[in-house]
Amino acid sequence: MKFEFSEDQKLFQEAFSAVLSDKCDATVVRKVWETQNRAEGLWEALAELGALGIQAPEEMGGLGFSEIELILLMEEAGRYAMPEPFLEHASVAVPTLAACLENESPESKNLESKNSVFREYLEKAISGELVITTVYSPSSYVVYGEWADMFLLINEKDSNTKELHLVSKDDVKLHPQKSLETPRKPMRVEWKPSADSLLAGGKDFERAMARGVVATSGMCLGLAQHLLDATIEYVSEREQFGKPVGSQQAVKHHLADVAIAIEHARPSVYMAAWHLSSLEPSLTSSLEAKTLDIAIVSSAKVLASKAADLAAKKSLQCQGAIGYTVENDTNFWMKKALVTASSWGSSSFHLEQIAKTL
Amino acid sequence: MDLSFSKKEIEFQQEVREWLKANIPKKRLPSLDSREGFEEHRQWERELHKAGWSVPNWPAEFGGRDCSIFEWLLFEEEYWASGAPGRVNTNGISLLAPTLFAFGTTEQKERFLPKMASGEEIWAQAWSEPNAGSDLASLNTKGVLDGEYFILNGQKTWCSRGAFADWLFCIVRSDPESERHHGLTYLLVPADTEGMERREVGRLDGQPAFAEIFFTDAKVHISNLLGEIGQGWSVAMSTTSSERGLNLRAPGRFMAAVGNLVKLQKELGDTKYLSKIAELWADSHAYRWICYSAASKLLAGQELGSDTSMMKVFWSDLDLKIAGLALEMLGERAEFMEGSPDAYDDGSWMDAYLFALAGPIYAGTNEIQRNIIAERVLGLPRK
Repeated sequence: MKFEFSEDQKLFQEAFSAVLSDKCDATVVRKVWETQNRAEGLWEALAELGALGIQAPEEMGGLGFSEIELILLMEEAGRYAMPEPFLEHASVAVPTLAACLENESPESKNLESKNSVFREYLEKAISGELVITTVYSPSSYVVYGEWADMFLLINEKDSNTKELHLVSKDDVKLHPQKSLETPRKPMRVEWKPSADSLLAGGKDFERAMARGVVATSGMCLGLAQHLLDATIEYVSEREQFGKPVGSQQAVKHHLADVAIAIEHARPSVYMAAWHLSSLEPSLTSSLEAKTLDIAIVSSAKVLASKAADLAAKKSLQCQGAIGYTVENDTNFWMKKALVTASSWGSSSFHLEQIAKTL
Repeated sequence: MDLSFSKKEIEFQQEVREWLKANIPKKRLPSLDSREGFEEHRQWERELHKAGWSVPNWPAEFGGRDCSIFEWLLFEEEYWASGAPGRVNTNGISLLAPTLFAFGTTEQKERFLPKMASGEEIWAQAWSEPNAGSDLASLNTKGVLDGEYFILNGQKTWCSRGAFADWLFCIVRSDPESERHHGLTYLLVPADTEGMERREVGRLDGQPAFAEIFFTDAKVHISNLLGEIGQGWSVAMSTTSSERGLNLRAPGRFMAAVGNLVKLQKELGDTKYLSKIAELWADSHAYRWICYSAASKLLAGQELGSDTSMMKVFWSDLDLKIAGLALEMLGERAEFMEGSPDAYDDGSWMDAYLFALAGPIYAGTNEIQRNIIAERVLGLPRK
């Protein structure tokens, strides 16, 4: 057992982080939230780095990396509060599309005509020409609806059978909502499934959902870490009663609790990412495929959500009234943390998933 | 990154499981903090030792089997899952032994480690004093060298298992003029030392093994000095960021306790606690993976530093939550103590709860740990 990331993995994380620091600093985040226009050049830069195809096989034009490399990027995406559908696109849609193309099992193998259409979508998704976002439950909303070209949508045939479909925005009717996290723009979707749009069913459906849950957990860690770092900086400078407020034990203990929650969530999130990476690309293509352990996936999300939620609340409390204003940049991270922590299944949902395995 | 267990580790796990299944006592032993329970637990240490399981991660020459940290973590998981008895020599094995390995002379290692491994000598930590609890550096028991002997005068207290232990590991002030962390010395003190008296103090659960220790011109031979004179503080603290940081409470304990909660839930048939149990399952695994991650760091040559403070707060809170939930589930039967006809599992959850209540206090209170985290990990201003 070895928890350390390789030098190459860390270097790729740094390269990703460098793009964000260049194209997505706090000024950019503020601008995106206020104008609701996309961050200039960010998506293109991510495509150029190969990050959009991080989880597509090399022969399909991707980087051929796994959830292990991805999880490091998700933490960075959280640290920068990246206002782009990177999670939905790169961690769910692209690998699920690639797995669908790799599926060779006789009963669910695709027709070549469908594969050639999907192959083109995948190419365009990797190059960034096409933005794909997704829902996480049959009744939930697609996010970043305005910026997306295609959606992954769930068709619930009955309570035990769910499928994922890839549908163009021209074939759906959208009902935009206003989110606390303004750039997210959730939308209710009206649509009809067809055989041509079917992307993944059975175990591959579960796998696709687990990808989203684990990536969200990584993002929660990054959001929590930024909130903690920003708050430490603030309370070390801000003085009351003639000394930094961060020297008061009450404040110290709040922030120690946040650090404890983050550090205890992180190894479980890495474990979940590693678990996904140890599975076959398509779980329906082989009978011997290892099964998905939902308790590992759900506990990562429960722990990371708790850390993000705690970080948001303690960050607000420790920054006092200044933290309560929209003039303070951390308000974006705080709001994104609250939204992200409850996305891809609430904690009660995931606790129920764990309970089923006990 | 590779988070799989090796074939060797899985075989090791299987071996431990089978041995425990065949050998754990059929009956629950009396509390290891009672006089009779103490001796019965010592007997169990002997059994473990005979089969080579009392200190599996120690070198074979001292009674271990040279297993890796990962194997030790797996051993603990199997140990606690099997329902085997508590370990009466934990403080010796997890708090003193790492220091002995790091600072002991060859003679000291040969003299003390094998008898610790076999349970022949059971150790108690005598660090706290009436006026030196969380603020350990204010300790004031004198231990001044005079010829070949340190002459000890003063009082130690809240000494777990101190009433029955065979040996104590102490920190004393060897330079009476010194202050705080300076002038302290780490000594190994036989419990039958002339001039040393012990008084049993009933713990919250009524068990008597807690002790106050009084030294009146007690003579301790210089061969029992661990490390150098005046270096007691750094000797005591130096191994806390190494493996010892992991040793005190292995994750297997809490995973097994959550397993017992699941068992309790199934027996009571009440589904309304499932979500809370699931949360504790996730927490016990959070602690499991942070321990494996810490072990991985140690193997990669890194130190754990103050990370162990975070882990201490986490496991001690977790332990309380687990036992607290069991009591909530037991409802009006929760208060029934050992020996009550209607007590669930002879009142074991109340015992577990009372024991867990001490967790946030011993080994550095959780408030002190949070200060350490805030100042040393997060870099918040001290003043």
